[in-house]
Amino acid sequence: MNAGGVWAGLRAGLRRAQGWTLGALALCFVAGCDPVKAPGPDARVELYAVDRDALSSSADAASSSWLEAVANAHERADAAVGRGDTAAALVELEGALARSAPTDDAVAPLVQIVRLDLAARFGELQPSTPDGASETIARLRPMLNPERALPLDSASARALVVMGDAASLVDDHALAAGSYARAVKVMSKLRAAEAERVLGEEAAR
Amino acid sequence: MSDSNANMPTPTQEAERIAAELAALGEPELEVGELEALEGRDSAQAESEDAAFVAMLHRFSEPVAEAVELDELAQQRAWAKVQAAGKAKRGGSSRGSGAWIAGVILLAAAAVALLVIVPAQSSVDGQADADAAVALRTQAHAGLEALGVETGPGADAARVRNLLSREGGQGG
Repeated sequence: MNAGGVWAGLRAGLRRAQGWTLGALALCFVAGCDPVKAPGPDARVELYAVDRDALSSSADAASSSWLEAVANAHERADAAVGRGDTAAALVELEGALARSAPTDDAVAPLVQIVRLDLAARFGELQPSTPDGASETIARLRPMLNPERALPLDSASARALVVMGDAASLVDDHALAAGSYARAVKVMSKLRAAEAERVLGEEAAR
Repeated sequence: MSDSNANMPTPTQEAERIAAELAALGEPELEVGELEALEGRDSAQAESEDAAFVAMLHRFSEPVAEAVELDELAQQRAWAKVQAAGKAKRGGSSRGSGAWIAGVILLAAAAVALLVIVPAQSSVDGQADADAAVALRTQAHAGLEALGVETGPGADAARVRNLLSREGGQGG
């Protein structure tokens, strides 16, 4: 093997492998920084205003029946917690979550609020273990998808905090930080909405 | 010719002489069957074979140098061809080795990037997320407490019953 031939081969090899180099660099770029996902935790949150009083007044018979079933499930869960039987309480809450909810658009926000509270309580009662945290995340993540609008209600903030706590338990720091950040945003908007309401009432006097 | 006819050897002697000549030339000795076949030739066949034998001896009587020169020329041509083929082969292998080295270098660079740089960057990002989660956790729990969201026994049931009674409100 002579040096001249090796050098010529190197040059030829480098030219031929130019495409491979660009491909490898592109792969490194994609693996290192996903251009689709924004840097840092995902703190997106889209909110829509709700009025619990208005929602409850629009509830029909089917909605009332469903609300009654959920309230009963909460009460049975309370009793189970009082006996120290957390597992039984979780079963009650899980059954309520699995129950078919009303599909009427008029009560859709009401259904979403009640289900968020159910799932949040389910997460709060889960054991502070990775398995329990994973169960909580599995329940809450689809309901709190950033692509999905959430009601401007304390139920949304509570559910986001619970998911953040669960994510911290499994060291999913991105999910935890994003959930907490979204919860803080919801609470800030809630306080702002409450302040506007109070100012409006004072101005009306 | 009459003298040669008078002194013409027997078929057996001829066969033996041919075998000896062939052996001297390095050719394999005649098999037994071949020797017998030579011995069993008829006279016409013997005459034609005699003529061929004489022609062969005549060729052997040619100056050895000429034959060697022809062979040598042919050998030199063949050797030149072999040398040329060897040079081409050596040159190609050098280029192939160079391309192989270049490919290995590029693959190693890509592997270093994937195995070292990317995990390092991910590690930095992960630590930043962990720090953010710790800071935001405190803020989130404090905000939830400030909102007055009740989560104790009976609180959730009461909130739902409030909705049923059409007297629901924020914070439960």
